[in-house]
Amino acid sequence: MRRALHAEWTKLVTVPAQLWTLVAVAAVLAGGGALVAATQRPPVCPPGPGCAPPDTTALVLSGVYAAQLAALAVAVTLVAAEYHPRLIVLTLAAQPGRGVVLAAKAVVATGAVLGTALVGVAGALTAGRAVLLTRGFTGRGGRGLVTPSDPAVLRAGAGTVLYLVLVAVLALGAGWILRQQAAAAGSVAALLYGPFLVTRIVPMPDRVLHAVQDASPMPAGLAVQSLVPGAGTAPLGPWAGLAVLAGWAVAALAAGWLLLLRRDG
Amino acid sequence: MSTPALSLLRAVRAEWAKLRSVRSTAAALLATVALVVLIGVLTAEGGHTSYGGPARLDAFAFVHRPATGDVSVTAEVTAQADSAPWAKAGLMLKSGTGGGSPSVSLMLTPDHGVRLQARGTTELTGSGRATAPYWLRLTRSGHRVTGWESADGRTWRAVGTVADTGLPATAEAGMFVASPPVGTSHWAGPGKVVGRTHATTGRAVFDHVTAGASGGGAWRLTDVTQPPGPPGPQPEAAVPGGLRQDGGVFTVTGGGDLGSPGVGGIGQDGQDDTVASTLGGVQIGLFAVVALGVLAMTSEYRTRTIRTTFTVSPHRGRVLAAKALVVAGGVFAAGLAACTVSFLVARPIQRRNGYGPPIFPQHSLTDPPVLRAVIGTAAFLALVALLSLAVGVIVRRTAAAVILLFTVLVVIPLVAQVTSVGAGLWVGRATPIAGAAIRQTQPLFEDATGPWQGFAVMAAYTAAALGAAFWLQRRRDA
Repeated sequence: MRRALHAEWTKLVTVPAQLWTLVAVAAVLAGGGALVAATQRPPVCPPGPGCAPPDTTALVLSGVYAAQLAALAVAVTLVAAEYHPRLIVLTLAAQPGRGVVLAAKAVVATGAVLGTALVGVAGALTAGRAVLLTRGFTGRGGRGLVTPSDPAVLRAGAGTVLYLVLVAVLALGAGWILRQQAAAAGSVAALLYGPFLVTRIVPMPDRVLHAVQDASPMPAGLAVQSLVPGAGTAPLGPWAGLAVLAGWAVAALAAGWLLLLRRDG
Repeated sequence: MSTPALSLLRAVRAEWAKLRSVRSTAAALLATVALVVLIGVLTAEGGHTSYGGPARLDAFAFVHRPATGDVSVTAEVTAQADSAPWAKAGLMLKSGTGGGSPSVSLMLTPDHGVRLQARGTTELTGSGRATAPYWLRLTRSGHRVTGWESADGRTWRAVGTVADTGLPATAEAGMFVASPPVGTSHWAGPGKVVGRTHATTGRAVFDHVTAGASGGGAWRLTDVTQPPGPPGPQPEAAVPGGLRQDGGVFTVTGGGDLGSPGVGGIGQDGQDDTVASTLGGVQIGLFAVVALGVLAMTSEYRTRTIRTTFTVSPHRGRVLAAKALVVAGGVFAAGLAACTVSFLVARPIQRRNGYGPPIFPQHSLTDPPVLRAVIGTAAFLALVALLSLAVGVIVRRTAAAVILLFTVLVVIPLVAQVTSVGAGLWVGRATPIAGAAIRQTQPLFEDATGPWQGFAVMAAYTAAALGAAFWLQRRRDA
């Protein structure tokens, strides 16, 4: 396993495009957070029950909507690059245990995304906080300002990192299933954004809307970012929402694993 | 035919054969049509509306005196305050001063010209552009009443005649002023528009008032009030009326409104754009168009057939032009089919859900705004395909091109819309997705841009990307 891990790690870090994409995960998270914070304005109404300040934590973490594309690209490429040209034959000759190859790729991809996402989320929270301060969010009268020591903020940040890791796992699974970079990346992107877009375009009764949100990987998974109960992307609680995404990711990876065992490389 | 044109034709035929013979093309085009129609139908199914007000509105300030028999009332509306687009000032014959009783009224409005109304349900339209100062005249002949309009008080034009008005032998004749509440909208947060209505007060000045063959007597001001309707939401009480008489000049103020749903502008405030909502599926259908446009180019790089292509047809610009023609043509045809079907299928569903006459006009496919929306949306999809083709040439790798286009067309608009009002509007105005505005047929508060401005922005981005693609392809090794 150590040799397999070492091999996959080398494959990841020696491809400049992959490294740049990993850097993009962190850069988009932090930069997006700062940019979104710069567009915010504190509410002009006097603080009170009818005037809630915006959920600034979820807002400065909303770079994740774009950063996840980079995370899924890294994971998909790590798998699909083996199939065009068909290097998988060599990989499996060097390491005949197919489960080991799959596990090594999973560990390397999730590890890399975990690291870069941690940096990105930390950057988004600090940069977002700094920008929000210049925009007049003083933090008085409720959660106007991002306070990284607040357990709820920590949960949202850690949840965002986990979300990106799970997206990478989902993308790995799609890569093993489809074995084609563009097809896998396109399918995962459509699976993530499609239901979210549909819920924004199509008016539907709350019952249907909540069912769709709870079942779809992106809205359910991103519910972890919301500090205001019931105001997130899905009515599910933070960890239950991540569990839905984890279900999708594990199912995709399991399907990929089964196919890898059955197919001729 | 000249040789370059002939070679372009040959290149187009070759590219068409390539595109046609690939299964993914048919799949992408079918997916485009299916997604657009499906989302259009779901949107129509999910959208409901109903008019919550009374069946007839009849509340206004009325300056009147009794008039027996065949009378003629004339006045010059010398000024009218623009208190609301549908503020009303004019002449009226009414069987009494109770709200809801039969009446015939001829009115001037700030934005909708001259209108003749009978019993609040019949409406005839006079000059559409007339504004104060303007002359109005009502003449009665038995149960028939004719409305007249004139710009100078000398040459008169008939607005129309209404029969069976239900007026008694002695009716109340005079001037009236009404001004309905107006709605305003503001952003309460990203993607959240909140509307509010507030009462308005209309004001009009009448001069040269003659009420020939009338019973004479003094002018009286009455606030005609809305008769109590069935239980449910009641319209707000109108602003009380006011009258100032200065010799022969009457200045009348008042609130309220008269008409019925669809008549006199009632129920038409801030309505939804029913045409645009049947075409909302393009925002999802473009996923498939992006895939088609990118693959038309990148699949040649991936399989290295690009070398064969350039060997057979060494003029690179011609190859790209042929690809652009074929891809744009195919997507436009599929898009046109999708938009037409979506509009035709969604309309009856919308009607069933309350989006129908009298408040919502029944649009047909051949109405110019609808035609522009349907054809324009298909053209927008064709532009998306061209932009994708160009990005495919520039990036040359399928996955990178798809992700780049996805970021520009889907992710950035999405993030902007969910995080900030200003950013959402800016992205909707200045990035390629602005082209989707071509489907709007009615200005709404939440629109980021106008239909043609948005389309022009998208066309400019596409032209720039295609230009870069032509330039790069000529300079690079295949």
